[in-house]
Amino acid sequence: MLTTLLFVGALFTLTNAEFTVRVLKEEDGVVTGIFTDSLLLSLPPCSLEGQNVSLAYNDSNNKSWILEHIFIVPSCGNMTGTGREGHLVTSNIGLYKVSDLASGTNYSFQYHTDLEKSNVVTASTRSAQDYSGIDTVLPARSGSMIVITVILSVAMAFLLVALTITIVLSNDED
Amino acid sequence: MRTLTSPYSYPPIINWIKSLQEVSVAGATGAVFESREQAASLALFALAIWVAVDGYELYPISGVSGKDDIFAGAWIAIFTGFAFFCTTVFGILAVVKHSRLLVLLYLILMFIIFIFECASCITAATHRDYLVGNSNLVKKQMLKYYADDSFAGQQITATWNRVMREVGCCGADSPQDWIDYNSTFRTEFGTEYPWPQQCCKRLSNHEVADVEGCKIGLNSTLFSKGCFDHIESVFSLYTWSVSWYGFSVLMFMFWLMLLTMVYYLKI
Repeated sequence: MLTTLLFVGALFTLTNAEFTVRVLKEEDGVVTGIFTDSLLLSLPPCSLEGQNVSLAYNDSNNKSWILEHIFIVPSCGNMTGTGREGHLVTSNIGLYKVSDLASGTNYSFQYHTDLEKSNVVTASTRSAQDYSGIDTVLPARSGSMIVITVILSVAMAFLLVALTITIVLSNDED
Repeated sequence: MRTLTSPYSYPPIINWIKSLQEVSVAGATGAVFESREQAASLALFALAIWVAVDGYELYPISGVSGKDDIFAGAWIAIFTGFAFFCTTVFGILAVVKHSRLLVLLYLILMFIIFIFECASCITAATHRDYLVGNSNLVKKQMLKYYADDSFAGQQITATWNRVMREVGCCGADSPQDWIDYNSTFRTEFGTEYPWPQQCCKRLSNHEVADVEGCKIGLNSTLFSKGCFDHIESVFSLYTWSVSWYGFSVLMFMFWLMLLTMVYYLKI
């Protein structure tokens, strides 16, 4: 009885074992993990080597997608090499690119293997702003602009006055 | 013993040397300062030619934006630099001949050139601030004109391709500029390539080292720094040459002209 309970308990734990998945960030060696139509997800740990992985995701309107058997978890040695298999990239960071997403939409992702599943990670794709909205007026009157204008204008005015006085004085002498 | 005051006639060269003995100390001092001004104005002339030649080939960025007075200021400085040189030669002649009319003419000419050079310095400094005060104008221009078919678009595309390749950079502030905003490039080529291929690192035979890695954005396969730092440093270099060196020449000229006015009142 106790053995049966222990076995059932162990089986229950195994089927609900969770590994971690996350969206990649700049610190992971990519420009960004979030694009307007795709996201970069980390891979399941290499201890699950050889297992078939599926991805389930849904958006905020509860529309869901399931990508069955998208890749096999690479071995730990393979993580240091570089490979391509569809959207799977095994480089020193290891990532999977989820494509064909809508921009500016919130999604939730979860990996499923034969025995385990990952945590649910939520992320939102970027929405591209219009470039005509970038403000290009003079940023600020910089110090150098003001200094050079003031000093040269004052010098010019002073010289004009001095030249006029010089001509007037020389005419008076004549 | 024959002296220089002998009544015998001498060749013209000796008469000229005799006339130099009458040059006053003030006149000699003026001539010394004028020669310094000649050297400074020739240097301004040479620097302005260097800016106008635009060895970094970034003129299209300022030309397309309409804020190209850094280069217009350089052309004015070519004129004023050489005009200063010629006028100071004339000034030395006027001081040696002790002619009030010539010295007055020299003062008026110098004042006119002073005004032109002021205009050059002020507009060059102002347009530099418009162009590269922050990265907004350069970024917006890149997003609008890169991959555009118009004449301005072709110039901007060629300029940015060369800068990205030679300097090793992508986008204005970073490659994320290409995905944070929509652009002509995105409209033309879709979303398969988030950024132009000139952002990707290349092998020595100019092939892209890793196309797929570049598309994903692996830092080891593309240039992850922005190009604005390089563009800003080049335009600042041009502006310091035209605007601030011109300013220093003008400050020297200011005192020289005041000195000449005092001399004019005394002769």
